[in-house]
Amino acid sequence: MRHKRASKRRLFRAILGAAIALTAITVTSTPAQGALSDCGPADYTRTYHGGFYWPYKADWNSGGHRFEGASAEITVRSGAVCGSDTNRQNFSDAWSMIAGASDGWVQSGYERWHSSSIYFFSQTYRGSGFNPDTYYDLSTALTVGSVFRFWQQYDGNCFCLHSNVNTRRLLSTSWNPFGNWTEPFSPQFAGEVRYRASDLPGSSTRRADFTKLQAQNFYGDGWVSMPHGMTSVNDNTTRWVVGAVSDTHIYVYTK
Amino acid sequence: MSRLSKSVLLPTTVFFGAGAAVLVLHIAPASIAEDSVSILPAQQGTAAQQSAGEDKSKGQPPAREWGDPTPGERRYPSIGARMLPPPRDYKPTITAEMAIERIKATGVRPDVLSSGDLTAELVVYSNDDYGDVQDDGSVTPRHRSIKAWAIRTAEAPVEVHGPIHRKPDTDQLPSCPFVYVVDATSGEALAAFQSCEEERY
Repeated sequence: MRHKRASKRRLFRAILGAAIALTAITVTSTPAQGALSDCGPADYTRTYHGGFYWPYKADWNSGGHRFEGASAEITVRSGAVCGSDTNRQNFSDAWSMIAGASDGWVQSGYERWHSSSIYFFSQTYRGSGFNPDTYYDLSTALTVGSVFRFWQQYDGNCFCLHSNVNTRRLLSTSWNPFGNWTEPFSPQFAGEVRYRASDLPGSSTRRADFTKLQAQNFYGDGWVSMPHGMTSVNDNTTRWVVGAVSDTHIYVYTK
Repeated sequence: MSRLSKSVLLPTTVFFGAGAAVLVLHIAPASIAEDSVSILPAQQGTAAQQSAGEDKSKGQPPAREWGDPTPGERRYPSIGARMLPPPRDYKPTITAEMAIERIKATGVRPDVLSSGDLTAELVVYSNDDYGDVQDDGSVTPRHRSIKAWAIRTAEAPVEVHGPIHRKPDTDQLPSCPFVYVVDATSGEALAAFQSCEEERY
């Protein structure tokens, strides 16, 4: 009798374990929120954004707005991607960036694809005539809700840009941005997707917050809070929200 | 302990209704405890920069000091990565098939994973640029002489991100080598990268 009860208990535990494992797998692979099932036509030469950037200003050199780096603490959220493109460059991400006026860029952030976990990524681009370099950090699958500082740092010791996450370096440029890009450089902070039918990271109750927005000053290489005057962009106002709490705290999410 | 064994299941919400109970679980695939949100002190002007005055365009990043290449070596200078042939007697703990399954489980770059053109090669992997930034600004590399599977395809379309409202210079995106790196002893997925600057010796 006791033996039968023990067997039943073991069977129950096995079934429960299997059910938990199945539930976990289902939860992991199910897209969040309401990404559309139909991605629509593919255009792999462009992406769509929701975020803020520092625009061109005529007094960029004299007005204390000559920048060379960018930094933000970004909350990790899962952006669901549209359902009909499961095996191509169908992604949702969030990042900080320093960009040349009309040429290259350096960025770091987090990214996910269809059915993937969320990982750090970094991309550097010297400009016309070259190709982007991209690094994906597979050592850490990110937990939703965690916060990381993503920052692009000019280093006068190497005349290069570093692309960092907290105290971890992902990439460094082997070229000098000042010798390759056109000034003024633009700090940018955004969520990004391949298709407008996909979700930016975040929801109305759990936004993808970008806090402690900073720019690195050309003069002295120090960091300053982003001043007033950034421009917002929302490529899909029907489905996405882009907002600001202050000059140094913005957010994006999908309705 | 390998990172593969760090996955944990954390129950977060329990719903009860219509006689059914649904346990919703959240997966935390790997620990991120090693990362704090500490911020390095802002670096002030450096001697190198001050000597360049306000014209910062004159300086050049130093060349990599990697010495003469070894036969069979692959180099990716813009990533900071090198791959040397492994010792002849080295026997990996995991097979190439297991390594490929491991990177497929990440789901990173599905376009590459589904290309059917992946080849696996045992290498000794190092990356000089990826690592922990020290107080003096130097980097302590996390990946140094790791025996690994390099799972590579010679050509994959580059996934271009880039600034708000700016398209790439061309509508024809380049195709470049793409590499996944999996620790051949622990089975841990370490990195993936794409660079057109691949040097093979």
